[in-house]
Amino acid sequence: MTERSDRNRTVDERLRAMSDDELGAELSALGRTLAWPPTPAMASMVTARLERRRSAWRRFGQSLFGRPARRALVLALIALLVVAGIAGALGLGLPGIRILFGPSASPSLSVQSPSPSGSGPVGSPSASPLGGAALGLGRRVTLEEAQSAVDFAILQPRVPGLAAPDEIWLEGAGHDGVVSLVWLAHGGQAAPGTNVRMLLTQFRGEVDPGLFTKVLEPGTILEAVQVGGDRGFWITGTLHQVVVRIPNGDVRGDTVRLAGNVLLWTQGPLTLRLETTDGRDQAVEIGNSVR
Amino acid sequence: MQAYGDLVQRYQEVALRTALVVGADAQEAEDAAQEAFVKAYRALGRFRHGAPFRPWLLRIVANEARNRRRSAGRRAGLAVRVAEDRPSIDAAPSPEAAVLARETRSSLLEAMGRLGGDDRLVLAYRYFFELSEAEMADALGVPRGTVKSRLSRAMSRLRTSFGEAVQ
Repeated sequence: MTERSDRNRTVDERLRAMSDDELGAELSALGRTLAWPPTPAMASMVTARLERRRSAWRRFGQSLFGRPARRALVLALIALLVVAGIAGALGLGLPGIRILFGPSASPSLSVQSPSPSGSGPVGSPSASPLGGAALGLGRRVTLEEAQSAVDFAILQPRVPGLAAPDEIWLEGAGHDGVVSLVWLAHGGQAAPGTNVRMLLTQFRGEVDPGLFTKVLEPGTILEAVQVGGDRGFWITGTLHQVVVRIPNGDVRGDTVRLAGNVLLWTQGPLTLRLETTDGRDQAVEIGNSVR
Repeated sequence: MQAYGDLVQRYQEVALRTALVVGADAQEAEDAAQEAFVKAYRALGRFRHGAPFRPWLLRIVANEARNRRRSAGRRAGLAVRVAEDRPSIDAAPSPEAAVLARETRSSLLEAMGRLGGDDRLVLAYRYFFELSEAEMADALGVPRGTVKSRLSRAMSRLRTSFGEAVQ
């Protein structure tokens, strides 16, 4: 027993004297030899939990909205709370909530992370969004710079009469790069709050309808279309976010930048998202021409 | 739902282990992991632009596990043990080396067990689950520059906990 305790002390002293790298290597080795409890298959249990919550909410909704008079009262209360919430946010300047004033007549509410510098065109009626700079697309680059930064061929629409993009933006690089091509309105119809007519975003990924439709908000209209021989979606309404599957099997969230219509499709290894003020047929024609 | 089921299957193991590292017992860890998947599903629409899923999920798991442990009023233990040696044909160590390796692992695991759940989580993310620095920052909810200092602090505390009596 004493011999074992002595040995343990020696082991502890040896570990204590190790550098961070050496100790890290021992921890990695430990990690490989740990006997973790077995992991049960959780997918069906998670689904069951989700179903239970859904049913509970449905029952709650039915009890709230059961009778017309009660429904009217509840809706009035909700409206009052929303108005009070917005007024509170405006009055108190709550962290995380900023009011963005664009060229359009009505202000839009947007939830953003607080900016460390406190600078930017926020809260100032005179600040006018300028092209992709107002859309958080990464950094402005030339097409050549973007092409040398990502490991896929950047695709462009080839519709007669459509000029080259006005701006190229890049976020990330290599396999994870996201390239956005921006066309300005040049006096034509711009997406609300911007001077941008069209935005084409591309990155490695795959549209997974199961995940992607999950985040659609009520009032969003989804239409299956064919784009370049592949399945795509034409989305109108209040789409804010798409969720796509990236090559390593993970998923990533991607924010829709323009409050307009969206054409979303997969072409080869890429997911493409066309946000435009154009209608469906024109968007699909542009999508079909992309190569 | 099938697509999300695939994701659950993909990450259920690391989710469960994260909950255990935080100090949940086996039952709490399973409950925390399942609840985290439910919360992640319901929050998919708020999934931050460009963010990878795994660290985001692990952050939810760790919070769930922490809450369960606190509600139970327990200190953050570690309900994991070192596996028995598996002799390898090509590199069979001498009996003395095998004993030393086993005792080193036991000492390390005991010291890990004495750490607070958050220090242990930092070390486990890096050395057990091999998260990148960027993933660790997301999973811990700290700026990327803070990851190194958190890691270094956890290492120091680990070093001082070698040989301490079990509480």
